[in-house]
Amino acid sequence: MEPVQSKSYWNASAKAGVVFGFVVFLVSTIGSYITIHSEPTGNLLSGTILASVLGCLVAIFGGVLAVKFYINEYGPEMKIGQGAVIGLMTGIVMAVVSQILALIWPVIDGAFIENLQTALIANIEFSDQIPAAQKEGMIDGIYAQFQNFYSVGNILQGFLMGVVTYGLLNVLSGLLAAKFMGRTPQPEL
Amino acid sequence: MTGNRDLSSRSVLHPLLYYVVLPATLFFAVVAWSPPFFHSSLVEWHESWQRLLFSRICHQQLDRTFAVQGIPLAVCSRCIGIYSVLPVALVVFSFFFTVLNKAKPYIVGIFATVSLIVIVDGAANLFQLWQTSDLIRLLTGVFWGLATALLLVIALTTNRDP
Repeated sequence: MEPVQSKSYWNASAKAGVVFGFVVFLVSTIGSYITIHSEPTGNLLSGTILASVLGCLVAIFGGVLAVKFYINEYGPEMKIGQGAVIGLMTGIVMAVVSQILALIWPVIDGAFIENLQTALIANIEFSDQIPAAQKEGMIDGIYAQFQNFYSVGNILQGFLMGVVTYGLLNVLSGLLAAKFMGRTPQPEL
Repeated sequence: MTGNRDLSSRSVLHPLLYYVVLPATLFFAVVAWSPPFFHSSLVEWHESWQRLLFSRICHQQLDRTFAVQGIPLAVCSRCIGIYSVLPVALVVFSFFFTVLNKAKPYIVGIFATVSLIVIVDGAANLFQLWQTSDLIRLLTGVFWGLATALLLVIALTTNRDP
């Protein structure tokens, strides 16, 4: 009797999650540097527009790549539900990896947080869409946000937000990838 | 006898549509619309978990975001079109999935075409080649949401032998 090979999703999800976690972090960090090195425009997220739009487009391909890895490893026979689970797990890995990298980067570039904070505040001060009375409150909020950058609450919040957004988006992309790249297993006769 | 098999098999919707996809899209839609109902100032909006949740996947620029009584939604005008129409279209399309399944050979083309329109318009706005109004952005989002819902319903339609 041959041993039954158990098909683990972890290998595919971990590989795709690490790749896309890194890519998402890279896109986001490049966006932050664009904000830092741009003249204030008054848009709160001026330099991160490209990052957030690209981040969305890039993030949904994590589940697709993970399903591709799974098919390469175990063959094309898979159910749609398996694709969804692989996508969810990939999203979770992406959230963990991008969150860890986002915590490490300010250690590598010591002035990163301060520069980003200054750039964001300059944009708020320059904005004509925010009533003057509310600008101060928003600036205080940004100060508090960056001062608590390494707090447990902030880290957990970032992780949770990443799991929800990347997780749910990749559930959808994972199940679509399973449908269009995989093959439904045929029942044995 | 593949033809007979196709004739005798019946199409069903995968339960994932009702238990995972629909709740997920409904969650995104409700959260996207919720800030004006929970917050009373831009300061609160800026610090809200709703804005933070979408900040990874939407630019949330104030001048490109619809507002209710001065409080912006959690996503831009294009994204609100996508998130609003997705759960509604999934429910509506699920009633007609056998008819819609006939579009299966064309669905990738339909989705790619609508996606291309959204990407071209988004890129042109980003690089300031032209500026579309919020209404046009909303409409491109609505069409992309419809195409995505169609893609999902067709993907979740499976043939089951009687």
